[in-house]
Amino acid sequence: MRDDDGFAALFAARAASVRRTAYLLCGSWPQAEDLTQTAFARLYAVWPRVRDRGVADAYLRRIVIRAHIDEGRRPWRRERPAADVPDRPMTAASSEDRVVLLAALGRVPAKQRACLVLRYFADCSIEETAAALGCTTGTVKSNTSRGLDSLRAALGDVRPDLVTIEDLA
Amino acid sequence: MNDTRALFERVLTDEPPLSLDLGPVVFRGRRVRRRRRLVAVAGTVAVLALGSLLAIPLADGMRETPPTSGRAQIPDDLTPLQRTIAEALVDASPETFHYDLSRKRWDDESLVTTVDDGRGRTRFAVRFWPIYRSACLAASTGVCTGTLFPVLPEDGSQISSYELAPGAYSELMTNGAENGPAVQVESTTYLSKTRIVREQPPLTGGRLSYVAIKVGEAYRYFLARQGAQPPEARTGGEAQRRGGTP
Repeated sequence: MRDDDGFAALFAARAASVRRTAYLLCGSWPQAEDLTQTAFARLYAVWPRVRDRGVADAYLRRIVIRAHIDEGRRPWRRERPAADVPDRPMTAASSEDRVVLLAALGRVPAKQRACLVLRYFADCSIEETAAALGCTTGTVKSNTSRGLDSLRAALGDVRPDLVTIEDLA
Repeated sequence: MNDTRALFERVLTDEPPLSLDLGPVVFRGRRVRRRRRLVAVAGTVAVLALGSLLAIPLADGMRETPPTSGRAQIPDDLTPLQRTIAEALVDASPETFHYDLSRKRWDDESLVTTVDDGRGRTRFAVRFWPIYRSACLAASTGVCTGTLFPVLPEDGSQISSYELAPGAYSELMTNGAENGPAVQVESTTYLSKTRIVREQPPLTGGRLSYVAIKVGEAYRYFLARQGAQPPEARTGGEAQRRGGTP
């Protein structure tokens, strides 16, 4: 029971953050919620053996990223919504920027995007990123560099005024 | 870096409220835990089942190893070298094999005798050849119309199978290096109950090669311990004339 309490506390503290990371990876809030649920469910399965909070965070990151990459490899398992139905009103100014930025982010390859999200959003070190992605630090560095190039190129195509190339990282 | 982070933060504006509850997460987690336990148990059962499947033939094979009681058939009046060879021969053979190892069957270190393998009596010979294993083989077998099969490629051992007469087959196995004495073990089935297929090694080939290797080891070890030289080369024809048939 005490274990479940600890898990509930972790869930309350980290679920929103994990969902945000997942959203930056997949670009869809419902899918981000699915990934978050998958990550916490798998963490719960091994929770009795987890003693370190830092380990739990790293485990969550790793599951989210791998689950997202797996989804990309198995598109036939993915839900296909008929249309994007906005279920709530959006403010005009913010939504336009968001859609453009999201589209640009969507053009960055999955592993490069994962590097960018972990390094610049989740504030992971190169070593932590490498551990989460299951690759070497050298791969993280090269993927990060290429990811930034891709993001610059994507933003340059759609809205060059939104972010200048020099501003990025 | 701050600009990249700011860009991500802008993407995250309009974040909907979290609709995820702890209940479904825990439910799914328990299901994953159960499934993993089930897979672990199934894996253990599968490994145990596979292990027992492998263990049965292995145990059968172990039962075929010769017991030390087989040495009881070795007579007391043999020379030390003959005794060494006889002990190696009995130790390397299945417990169902019974040799006639009496003194009259020996000519120095050569043995021409019979063996009862549990299915009937068979002619059996052990000879030692200092050099040129293949030449000895051809000379010994005479009309060797059968095929030569490599037994152990790494030591050059070979086994031949040939038909002496309709329904009578012989198997002959040699091993050893060209620089040292080779061992030749021959087993002839006068009335074969199982026809030997020409293209395949004889049924007892594996056992004969094992016997030849073990006898050869014992022979070389004995000579090395005595500081003796291997005997002069003899031709197969001489050995057959001297050994005769049982």
